[in-house]
Amino acid sequence: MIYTKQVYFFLIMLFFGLVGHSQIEISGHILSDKQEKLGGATVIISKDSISSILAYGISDVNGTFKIAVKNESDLLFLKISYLGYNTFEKTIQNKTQTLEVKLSPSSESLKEVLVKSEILQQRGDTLSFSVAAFKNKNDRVIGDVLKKLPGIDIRPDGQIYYQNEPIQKYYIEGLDLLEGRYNLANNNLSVEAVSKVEILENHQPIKVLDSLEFSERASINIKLKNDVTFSGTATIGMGATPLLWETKVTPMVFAKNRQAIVSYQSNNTGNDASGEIRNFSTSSTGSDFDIEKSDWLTIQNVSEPPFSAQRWLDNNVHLGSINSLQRINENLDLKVNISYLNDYQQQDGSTQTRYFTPTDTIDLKEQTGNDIFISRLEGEVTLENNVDKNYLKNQLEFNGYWNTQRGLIDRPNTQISQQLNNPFFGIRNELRLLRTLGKQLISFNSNTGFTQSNQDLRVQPGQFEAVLNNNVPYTELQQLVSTSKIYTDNSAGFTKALGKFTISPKFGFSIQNQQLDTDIFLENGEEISNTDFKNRTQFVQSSVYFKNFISYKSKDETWNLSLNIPFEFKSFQLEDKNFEETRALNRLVFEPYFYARKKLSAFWEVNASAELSYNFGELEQLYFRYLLNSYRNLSRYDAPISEEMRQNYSGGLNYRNPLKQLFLAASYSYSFSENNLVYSSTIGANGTTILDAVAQENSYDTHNFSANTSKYFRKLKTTFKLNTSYKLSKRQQLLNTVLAEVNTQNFNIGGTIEADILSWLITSYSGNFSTYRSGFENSDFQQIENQQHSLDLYFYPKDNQYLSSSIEYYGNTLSENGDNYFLNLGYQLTFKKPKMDLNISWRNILNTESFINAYTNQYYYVQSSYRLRPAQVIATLKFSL
Amino acid sequence: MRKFIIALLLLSLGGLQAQKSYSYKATYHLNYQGDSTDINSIKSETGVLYLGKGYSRFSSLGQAVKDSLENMENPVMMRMDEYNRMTDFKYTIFKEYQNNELILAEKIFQYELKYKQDLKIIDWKIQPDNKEILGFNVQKATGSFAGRNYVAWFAPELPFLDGPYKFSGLPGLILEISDVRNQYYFSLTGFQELVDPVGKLLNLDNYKTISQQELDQVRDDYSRDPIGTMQKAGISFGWSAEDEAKARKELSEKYKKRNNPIELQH
Repeated sequence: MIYTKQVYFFLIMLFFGLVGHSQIEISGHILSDKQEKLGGATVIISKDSISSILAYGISDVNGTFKIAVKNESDLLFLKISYLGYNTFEKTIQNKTQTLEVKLSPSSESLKEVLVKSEILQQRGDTLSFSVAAFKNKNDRVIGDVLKKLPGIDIRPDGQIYYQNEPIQKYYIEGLDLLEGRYNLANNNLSVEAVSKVEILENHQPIKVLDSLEFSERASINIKLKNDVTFSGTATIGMGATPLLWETKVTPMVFAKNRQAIVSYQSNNTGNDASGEIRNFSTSSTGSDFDIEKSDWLTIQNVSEPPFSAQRWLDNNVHLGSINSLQRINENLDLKVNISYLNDYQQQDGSTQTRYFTPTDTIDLKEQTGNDIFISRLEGEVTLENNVDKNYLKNQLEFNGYWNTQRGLIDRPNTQISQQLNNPFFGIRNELRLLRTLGKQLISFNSNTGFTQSNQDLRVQPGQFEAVLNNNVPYTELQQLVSTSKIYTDNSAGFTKALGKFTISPKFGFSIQNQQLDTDIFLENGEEISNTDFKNRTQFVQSSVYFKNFISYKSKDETWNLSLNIPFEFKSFQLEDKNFEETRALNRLVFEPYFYARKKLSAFWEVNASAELSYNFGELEQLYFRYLLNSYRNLSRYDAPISEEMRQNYSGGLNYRNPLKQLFLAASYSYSFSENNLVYSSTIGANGTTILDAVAQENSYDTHNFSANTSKYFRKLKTTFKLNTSYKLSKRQQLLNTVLAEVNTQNFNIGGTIEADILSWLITSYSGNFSTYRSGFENSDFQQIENQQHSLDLYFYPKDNQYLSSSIEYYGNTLSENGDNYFLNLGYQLTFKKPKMDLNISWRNILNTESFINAYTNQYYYVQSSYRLRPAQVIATLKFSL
Repeated sequence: MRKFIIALLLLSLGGLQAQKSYSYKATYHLNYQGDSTDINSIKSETGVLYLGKGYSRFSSLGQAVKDSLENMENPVMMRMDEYNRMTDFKYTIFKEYQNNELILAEKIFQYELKYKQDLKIIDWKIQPDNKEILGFNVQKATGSFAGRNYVAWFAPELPFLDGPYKFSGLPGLILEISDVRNQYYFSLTGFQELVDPVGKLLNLDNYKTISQQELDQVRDDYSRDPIGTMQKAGISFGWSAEDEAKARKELSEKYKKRNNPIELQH
C-alpha cells in the first residue's frame, strides 16, 4: 500500500517536470585579464537585469562554475562579480552551455555606508554595568551587586579582585575617598543609591602615566543616581546567652566636590570590627621602611583556633570612623581619614608544653587567663594633585596605640600575674612625584617616619631568681623598654620600554637610626644596676642602592622572563653607651633574582626561579644585654651583627587540560642559607628559657615538594581534588649547651569533594591529614598527627531563603581528649516589604567548651586548650537608611 | 612612469595579500535573547567582519579591539579608554574560501583553542523577495543551521560570499540575518573600505585544535563554574566555604539564564 503511494507520488513529480521547462545547466570558466583562474567569484542568473535571482553559483579554485537553472523564459541574464574586477553582465539563451569569461580589473570602490549612531555605540562600550540589571531582591549594599559582575570576586576579608588581580582604586563618582579602606563603602552604601558600576580595565590612575605605563589592573567607579546622595545602612542584632548585641550605623553623603562616610559599630558577638577599616592599598613608593607597631614585650598567650573568630573571640568592641574628601580644584583632592577602635577581649585556656633537649625533657603546665584592652587611633591626611604633566601625592599618616594587657597564669604550685603596658606612637610622611622630562618620565619617592614606644611588663612573683636575684625568691620583676626609630628613604628612577624589554632603574639612599633603652627593676622599684641587664643601644643603618629591573615578554606569551639586579652598599653601626666596644658592618651586596616561565604546549607549562639574598640583623636581634621578653623568656644577642646569605631555587610543572577537566601541578624548591650566628636556648626546670646568640658558622637547608590534582566529572557534577606536600629541613641549634642538628619533616595530604547535584543543594566535604616529625640527628623524638574533616551543606528551599549547616571535626594523636566536634546552623530570610534581611545563626550547637589543639616547634610541642564561646543564637536585621 | 607606479601598487597589494590583509569592514548590530524563557533578556553587541579576497575574519567589536591591542608591538601607546570594551562572545571566526574551511578560535580563560569546520554549512534557498537595506538592493534567502531556521538578506552588488558569524555562501554579502523566532538578529550598520588594510592579527599556531563539541564543552564548563576553573589552574581564593558556596550559587543562577546559544545542535 505504502509502496503504491510512493510510486504515485513519483509519477506526479515526473509529470510536472515534463510539463514545465526542462532543467538546463550553465557552466563556465572565469579568468582574469592575466589568465589567472578566479575562484570565489559569484555568478548570478536572473530573468533580466532588474528582476530577482533565479539561481547562483560560485567559482571554485580552478575558476569553474556550474549552475542548474529551471525557467520558462527564452533568455536569461548572467552576472559575474569579483572583488577588484568589473562586473561581467551578459544576456544568454536559456539552454545548456559552457562559457569562457574574462574579467577586467577595476579600480572602482564599493559603495560605503555608515549608520551615524554606531560611532556613539562604539564609544559607549565601556565596562559599564547597570545596577538595576544585576540587582535582585536580596541585595542591600553595593558589595552584594558588585560580586555578581563578571570577573569580580570579593574575598572574605573584603578585598575586591577583578580577573584575579586586586583592584587598584575604588572610586565613588570618580573620587577616591577611602583610599584602600573601601570595605566601609562596599559594605554599607545602599544599592538603591547606585545607578551604575563602571569597571575601568587596565586603569592607570595617574594621568602622567596613562600613555606611558600599561596598567594590568582594574579600578572600580561607583556612579550614583543623584548629584547629592544621602545613603547608608544599619544593622541591629540581639542574641543569647549571655546577652549579645551587634549594631552598625553607617551614614554617608556624596556631593559633587565633597564626600563623607561616617561609621559607628559595636558588638560582643566575636565579630572583628577592625576588618571594616582594613586598608588594601599598597605603598606606592616601594620603600621597605614602615611605622608598624612592634612589640618587645608580651604576656603569655594561647594560640587561636583555626576557624571563624565568631566562635571563639570574646570581645566587646566599639569602632568609629570618619572619612571625608574635599575637591579643592579640578585636579587637587584633600582627604582625611580617621578611625578609633576600642576593644576589650578575654582569653582563657591552658597549655601543656614539653621541651626536648639532647639530654632531657622538661614539662610545663599553664592555665592562662588574659584580659586585653585595645585602644587605637589612626589617621591619614592625603593631598593628591593629578594632572597630565605631573603627579604629586603626599600622605601623612599617624598611628597611636594605648594597649594594656593583664594575664594570670596558674601553675600546679604557683600563680603568676603579668601586667603589660605597650603604648606605641608612629608618624610618617610619604611623597611621590612624577614628572615628564621630554619623552622620559622621572619618578621621585620619599618616605620618612618616626616611631616611639615605652613599654613595661610587671611579673609577680619575680622569675629567674638564679640570674637576677642570687637565687633568692622575690615578689616582683619589672622590665622597662623605651625605644624610638627615625628613618628616611629617598629614591629617583625611571621606566623605559625597549621593544619587548622593559627596564626600570632606580637610585636611592636610606638611613635609619634606632635607640633601645631597657632596664630591669626588682621588688619595690629596686633597679638592677648591673649593666648585664641594661641596654643603651643605638643602631644606625644606612644604605646607598642602585636597583635595576629588566623584564621580557615574548609576543605570543610563550616566554616570560624577568631579572632583578639590585646593588646595595649597606652600612651598620651598633653602639651601647655602657660599653666601649662597638660593632660595625659594611657590605656591598648583590641580590640577583631571575624568573622564567615557558609555555610548552597548549596544556603544559614550566617555570623556574633562582635567587640570592642577604639578611642582616635587625635591632630585635641585636641588643647586647638581657631583656625579659615575657615572663619566662630572657634573651640577649651579645655577638657580632648577624649575617645570612640565602640561595633559593625552585621549579614547577603544570598540566591543565580543560577538555578532560584534569589539572595537575607539581613543584619543588630548595633553599640553603649560611649564618654567622647560632642561637642557644637554655631551658630551665620550670620552662624558663634563656636565649643567647653565639658566633659560629652554621647552615640551614630546606627541601619542599608539593603536588595537587583535580578532576571534574561532568555527569556527577562533582569535583574531586587532592593535594599533598612534603617538607624536609635541617638546622643547627644549641640546646642547653649541646650543639644539635634538628631535623624536621612535615607531610600533608588533603582532599575535597564538591557536588552540586541538585539545584537547591550544594554539598562539600574536605579532609586533611598531616604529620609532623622532628628529631636530633638520627633519633626522632616526637611525631604529631593532625586530622581535620568538615562537611558543609547549603540548602536553597526558596528564592528568598537560605539555610546552611556545617559539621566539623578536628583531632590530633597527642592530646588525650583531642577530639573536637562542631555543629553550626545558619538561616537567612529576605523580606520584600519593607526591604530587610533577617539572619539567624546558631553557633556551636554541641556547646563544645574548648578547642583542643597540638602543635610542635623544632624542640618542643604544645598541647593547648582554648575556651570557646558557648552555644549561642544571634538574630540580626539589616536595612538601608 | 604611471605604469610603473601602478605596477608598484599592484606589487604592494600582492604583498599585502600574502600577509592576509583585510581591505573592507562590515559592521553588524546583534540583538540576541540570552534566556530562551525570558523575552526581556535581550542584549546587544556589535560585530565586525573584516573582508579580504577569499577570506574573512568575524568577531565581536570588543574582541576585535582586544585582538588588535594584544598584537601591537607596543600596546602602551593605546589610550586605555579604547581598551575598555567587553563582550559576551570571545571567539574569532576565520573563513577561507580557497580551502572551503572555517576556523573558530577562542581563548577560554587561559586556554587557546580552535576548531575547524566546513565552510558550506547551509543549503540556501533563494527566495524571490527583494528590499533595500541602507541603499543596497538585497534579496531574500532561507536556510537552516544548527537547529534554527534563518531568513537572510544579501546584497549581490557587494561581491563577498560572506556574512556575520558562520554565515556565508550567498552570492553577495549578507546584510541582515535572523532566525525565525528572532532570538538572534544581525543587521548591517556600516560597510567601509579600509584606508589602511588590517592584518590577520591572531596567530593561530598556538591554538590547540580540538573538536567543536570539545570547545563548546570547555566554554560551558567555564561559564558554569568559573571559580572552579580558576582554582584548578592554581589560583587560590582564600574564601570561606560559605562565601564560596554563595558565590557558586549565584554564578550557577547566572549560568542557567544563559541557556540560548546561537547553535542549538551540531
